[in-house]
Amino acid sequence: MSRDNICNEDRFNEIFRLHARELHDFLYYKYGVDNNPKDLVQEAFLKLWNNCHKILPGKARSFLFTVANRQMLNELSKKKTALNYSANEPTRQHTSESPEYILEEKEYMNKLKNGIENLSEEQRTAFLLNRIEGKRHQEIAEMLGISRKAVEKRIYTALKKLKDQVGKI
Amino acid sequence: MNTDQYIVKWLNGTLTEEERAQFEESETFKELKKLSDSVQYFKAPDFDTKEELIRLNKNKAKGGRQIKINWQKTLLRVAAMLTIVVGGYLYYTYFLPATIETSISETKKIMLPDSSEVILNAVSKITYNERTWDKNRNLKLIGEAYFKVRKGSKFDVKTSAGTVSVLGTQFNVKQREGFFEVVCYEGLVRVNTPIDNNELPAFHSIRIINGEVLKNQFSKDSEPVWLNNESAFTSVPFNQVTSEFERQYNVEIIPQNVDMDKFFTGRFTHDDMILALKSITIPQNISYQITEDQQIILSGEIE
Repeated sequence: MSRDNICNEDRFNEIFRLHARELHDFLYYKYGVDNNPKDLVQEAFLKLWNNCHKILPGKARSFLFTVANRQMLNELSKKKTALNYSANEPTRQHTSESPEYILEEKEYMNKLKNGIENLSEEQRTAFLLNRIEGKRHQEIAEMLGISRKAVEKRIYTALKKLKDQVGKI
Repeated sequence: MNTDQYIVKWLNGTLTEEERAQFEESETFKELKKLSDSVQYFKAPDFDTKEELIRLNKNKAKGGRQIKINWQKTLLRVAAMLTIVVGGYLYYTYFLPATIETSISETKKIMLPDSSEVILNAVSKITYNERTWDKNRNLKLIGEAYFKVRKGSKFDVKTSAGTVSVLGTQFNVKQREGFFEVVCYEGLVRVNTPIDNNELPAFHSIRIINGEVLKNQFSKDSEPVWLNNESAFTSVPFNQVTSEFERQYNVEIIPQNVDMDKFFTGRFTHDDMILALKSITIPQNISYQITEDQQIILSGEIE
């Protein structure tokens, strides 16, 4: 079996190492932790493996994202799961912070959490991929299968919504 | 440039140095900066690529490929079952010849594939092959049967005593122990036996009893009388008469001092045993006795 075929185990594992993490993050930002992004990564790659004869290595990435997207949609329509992002606890460097400040910070984070959960799935994915993962607009457009302009619009709308949600500092 | 335009440019990273410096002074920027920094806490949880790859390879082994193998196995099983079922069906319908039998005092009417008719007398059997019938109209006969054959290709009736070949006709074949008789009612019949080859026109019969050939002509009876629940005999050895009687009435006949080779001419009905018994015994000057277990003892007086 040629090295250039996805059915080749080494080649397949290489594709996994290259894209699995990104796919996972994408699924996480899109649907949240309750929808088991890790399991969906597994399913998407199993599908790729089972169809390895039909897919050229160059198309593997877009295949994975398309499959992951579709799987998720099916799952979601069944479960209608509320999204739940658990913020990693901010590490406090300054213990001298006032109790008021800490309380305010907590409230701010709560508002932000609610805000993120209330974003549309499209806005959230684009926004978080851009702000957290530092993905360029073009990259996000390819992942979502939409235009770069649409990505820009989504990120902007998301930011505006969040800004309104958390209010002034 | 208003605040929204600044935000868009900031997001797209298209602010000039000058613009950026100016924007960073604004309240909006502070809000955005704070928001942007806080969002970092919502980063996706760690994804252990190595561990997940191991998990995937396990899943591949039990999920991915095995499904394929099972699918193939299932397919093979279904195919094997189909082969057996279809094969068996074909074997029965095409390769195994059809056999029709009658028991004592029973007659059966059979329609052959070309719509020729066969009427089987009691204790008789025909065997024929439906698959090859169109090309090869032949059947095996044990016992007695009346044939009404459709016009067409050659039609052969094979018996242990000889073969009867016809072209669209009606005839009766009787092949019993030591006795072979063909009666033609219509058309022309060819009778091939090891002893003799004959052509029988309508209303002619040929009879072979223990190797002796007898030809006969008869008046225009349209059908053999057994079709009307009677057995008729013309100069037939008496043992043939008693055998036929046994076949029609499910009894055993035990002759005592009776000349079984003496010729008999007459008929008996299939509907009334006592009447039938009288019909065959009185002309032969024989007395009869019926035992409890359906045996009939015939007693004659041999001079």
